[in-house]
Amino acid sequence: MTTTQAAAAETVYPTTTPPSVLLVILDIHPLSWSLLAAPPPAPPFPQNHAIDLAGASPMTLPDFVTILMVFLNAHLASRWGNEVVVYGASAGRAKLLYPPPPSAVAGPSKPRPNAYRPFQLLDLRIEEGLREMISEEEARLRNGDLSRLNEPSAMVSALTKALCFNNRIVPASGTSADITNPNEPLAPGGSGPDRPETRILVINATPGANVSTSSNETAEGELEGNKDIQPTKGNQMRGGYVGLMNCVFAAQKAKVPIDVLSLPPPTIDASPPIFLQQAAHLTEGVYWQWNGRGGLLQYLHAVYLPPASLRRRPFAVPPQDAVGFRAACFCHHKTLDIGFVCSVCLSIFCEPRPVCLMCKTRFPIKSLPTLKTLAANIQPISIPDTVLPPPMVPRTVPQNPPKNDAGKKGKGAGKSGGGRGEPIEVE
Amino acid sequence: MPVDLNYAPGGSDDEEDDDILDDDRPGPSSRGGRGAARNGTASKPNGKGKDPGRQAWEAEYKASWDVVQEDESGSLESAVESLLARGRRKRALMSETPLRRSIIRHLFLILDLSESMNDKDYRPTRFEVILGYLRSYVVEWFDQNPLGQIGIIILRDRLSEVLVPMGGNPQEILSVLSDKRRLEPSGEPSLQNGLVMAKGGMSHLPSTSSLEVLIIFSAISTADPDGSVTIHTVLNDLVNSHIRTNIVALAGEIKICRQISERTGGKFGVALEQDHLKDLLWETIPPPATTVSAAAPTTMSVRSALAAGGKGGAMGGAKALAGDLMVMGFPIRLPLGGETLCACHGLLKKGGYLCPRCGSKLCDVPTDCEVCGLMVVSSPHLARSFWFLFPVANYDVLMVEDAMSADGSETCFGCDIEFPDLSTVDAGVAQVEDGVSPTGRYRCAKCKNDFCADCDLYIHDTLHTCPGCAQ
Repeated sequence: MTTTQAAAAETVYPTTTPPSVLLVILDIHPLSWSLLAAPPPAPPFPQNHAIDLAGASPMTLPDFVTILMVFLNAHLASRWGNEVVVYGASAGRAKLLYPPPPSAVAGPSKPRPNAYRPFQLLDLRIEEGLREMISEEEARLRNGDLSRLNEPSAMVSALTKALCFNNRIVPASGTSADITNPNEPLAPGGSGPDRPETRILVINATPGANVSTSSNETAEGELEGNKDIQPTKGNQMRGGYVGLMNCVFAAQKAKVPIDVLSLPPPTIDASPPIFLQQAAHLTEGVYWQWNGRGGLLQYLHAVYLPPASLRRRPFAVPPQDAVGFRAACFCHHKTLDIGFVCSVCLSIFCEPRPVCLMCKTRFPIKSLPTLKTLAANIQPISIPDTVLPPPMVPRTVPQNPPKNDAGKKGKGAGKSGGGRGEPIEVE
Repeated sequence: MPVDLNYAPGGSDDEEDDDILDDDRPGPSSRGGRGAARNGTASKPNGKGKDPGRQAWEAEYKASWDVVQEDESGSLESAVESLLARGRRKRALMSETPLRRSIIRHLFLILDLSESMNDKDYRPTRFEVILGYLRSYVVEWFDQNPLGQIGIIILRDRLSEVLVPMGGNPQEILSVLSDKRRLEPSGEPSLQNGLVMAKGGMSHLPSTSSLEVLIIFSAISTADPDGSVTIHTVLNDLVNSHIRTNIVALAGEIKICRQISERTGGKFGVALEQDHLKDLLWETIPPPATTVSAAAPTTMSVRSALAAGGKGGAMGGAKALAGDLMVMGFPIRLPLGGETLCACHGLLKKGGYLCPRCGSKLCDVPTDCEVCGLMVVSSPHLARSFWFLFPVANYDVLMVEDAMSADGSETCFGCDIEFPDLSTVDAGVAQVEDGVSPTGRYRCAKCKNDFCADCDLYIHDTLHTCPGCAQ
C-alpha cells in the first residue's frame, strides 16, 4: 500500500481515462430479499450518534432497483462511451437483463421530452427485463419446481456469463507475449486509449456462507462417475467454490476487478460472504458490506462509481476488511480453517481419510491417527476487526459483544509483541 | 545400455556437418528447405523417415503461415476457421477424465549461455529471444503452478553456475533475467556439469513432488570434464533419482540430449523457428499428467515410465505413486491497519496472515508457520489447480438439422451474442472441416446449452467453468 501510494503521489492525474463498461450482477433471490425487507432492529451504536440515529432501514427490491438505476445513470453520465450490462441471478438461474438482444431493440413507445434518451432506455429496459425474469420465476414456481427455490443464487453462472461478455468486447490481447515487448503481460492492463475498461460489480443479497454456492453439474457428474464416493448432501458448495475460483482467475487474467457489495447487514448474518470477499481481494476489487442503516445511494456513488484507474487516486477506496482465506472441503462442503490436502491432486478434505476421493491415491494408513491428533483441539481464531474504531470514544459502553471481542483480540495480539505471546498458551 | 534403439536421426552424418559449417545463415526455417533440396538432388536414402525430404523432427510441425491458403473467392476466412478447428481437435484429444498431476513441482531451468547463443538465426539473437521468452515463461509457469519452485542454472565457459537458487518468487527470477550484463554468453557449455549441479540442488527434495529439469541447449556439442564420471553415469543418476528432463535444442538434434530426455521420461524437441520454440517451451508449463488407470497406460506415470526406461526403478510402478495427506491451514489476511510484529522475522510490519492454529502472524504465504509448524497456504493457491480435477465438458458441433429441430436459443449462452441466422447457412457447403460448426453453434454435452465459437475457446482455455453447468 505504501509503495502504491508513493508511486501514485508522484504521478499526475490521468488527463483522460478510457470509457468503462460496468457489468452488474444483481442477486434477486426471493428469499434473500424477503429477509432484507424486514431486517431485525439494528443494535445501538454509541460511538457515533449520527449513525445511531439512522436505525435499521428495510430494503425492498423495487427500492433498491430505483437506487441502482440512479447509480447506473450516473455511470452513463460520467463519461461518453460508458456502457452498462446487467445480469440477474436468481435461484439457480442467471440471465442477461440489459442490454436487450438487438432484435428486440425498439425505442420507448413515447419518448419523454425531458429525459435524456439513454437514461430512459436503460431504466425502461432494466425494469422490463426484471419483470420478465421475475414472471418467469413465478411461472417456474407455479409449475411445482419448488426445489430450486432453495438453491442459492446462480452467482457463478452470472459471473461466467459476464466474463464471456467481457471476452467478446475486449478480446484477450494475445496470451502470447510479444517477443519485442516481453514485459507486456506484467504491465497493468487497459493500455491504449480506446480499449474500454471493464469491471464487474456483484450485488449480493444472500446472507452468510450460502453465497456463491450454486451447484456445478460438472462436478456432480464427476462424482456420479466415481461410484465409491460417498453420497454428498449439499453438492453446491464445492462446485460453486471451484467455479467461483475459476472465475476469479479468469478475471485476474483479464485484469477485470470484481467489486462486491454485500447487502445483508451484520444483524441478519454476521459472517461475511468469504468467497466473494476473496474474489474481490484477489482481483483488486472493492469489497464493502452495507451496515443496514440506509444511505445506499451515497455509498454506491462514493465507493463504486469511479473506474479502477481513478480509484486510488484521486478517489479513495474504503479500508478493506480482513480476508479469511478459508477453503471449502470436497467431501462435506464445510468451510475450513485447517484441512487435509492430497499431495497429488491437492483436493481438500475436512477429515483424514485413507484414499483420496478425487485421484484415488492411497495414503499411508499409519499416519492417519497422527494426522487426526494434529487437527484436533483447534479453536478457531476469530477474525480481527479491520476498520479501527473511530478515534474519539467518549464513553466506554458495552458494544456489540462478539465483534468487539474479536477486535480486541486481534489488536491486543498485535500490540503485545505480535503472535508470539498467544501461541505459547495454545501449545 | 539399450540406448541406440530409438535413436533415428533423419539425415546422415555429412549432412549435419554441412549444417554446422554454414550455421550462421539467416533464418532457421530455411534449413528445412535447404535440406530438402539437398536431399532431392543427392537422392540419398533418408532412413526411416516417413516424410522424405524433411528431417525427422521437422515432420510434426508446420508454420502457421504455410498452412494458410486462400479459398476460391480469395478470402482467408476458411483458412482461419480451419486453424481454429485444429485447435479444437487438439483439445478434443485431451481426455476429460481427471488426471493425476504432479502439482508440487520443482524445476531447474538449465540455460546454455555458450558462444552459440549469439547466433543470429533468431532475430535479433538467440540470446535475446530466449531471454524474452523465459521472462513470460516464468510468469506463466508460476501462474499455473503456484506451489512450484524454479531455480536457474547457466552453462558457460565449461562451467555451470547457479544463477537463481530454487525458489518460489517469480519477481526475483525476473529481476535476475532482466540483467543482461550478468548473462553475457561466452565459451562452451558443459551439459554434464549442469546436470550434476541440478541433481545436487534437488537431492534434498521429497520424492512426492515432481522434480524436473528443462534444458535450453543452443550449442551442438558439450565440453564435459575428464574423469571417471561421464555424462552416461550422470544420466543413470538422473534416472535413479526420478528427475524428468525436458530438452529444447535450438540448433539441431543431439544424440545425447535425446537419450537423456527419453530415458528420464521427458521430452526432446528441436525448435524450427520462434513460434515453434515457444510451443515447445510452453508445452512444459502444465503440470505433467499421469492417468489414474494403471491398466491402460496411455500416458505413463512419471515413475512407472522411469521404472520402465531406467533400471533404477527399484520399487514397483504402482507403489511409487503413493501420495501423502498433508495438513494445511488456511490463514486470515490482516488488513493493512497498524504495524504488528511478525513471527517469522520479528519485524514490525503492516498486514500479514494469521496462522489458523496458533494465531501467530506470518509475513507471507505459502510458508510453514514459524511457531507451530503448520503448513499455511491461502486457499486460492490450491484452487488454481482445481480445473484439472473438474474439466469442462467438450462442446459438440451443432449441425443444421439439430439447430433447426431443437429448441435451441437464438443467442450464445455465454456472451449473449446472436447466432447467425439459420436460413443463411447453406447446408451443403464444404465447411465440413472437422470441429467447425456450420451453424456457428456449439452445444455443451452436459447442460445442452449453445455457445458461440469465441466463448467455446474462452471457456475451455481460460475460464474452465461452463456457464450452463454452473447453474
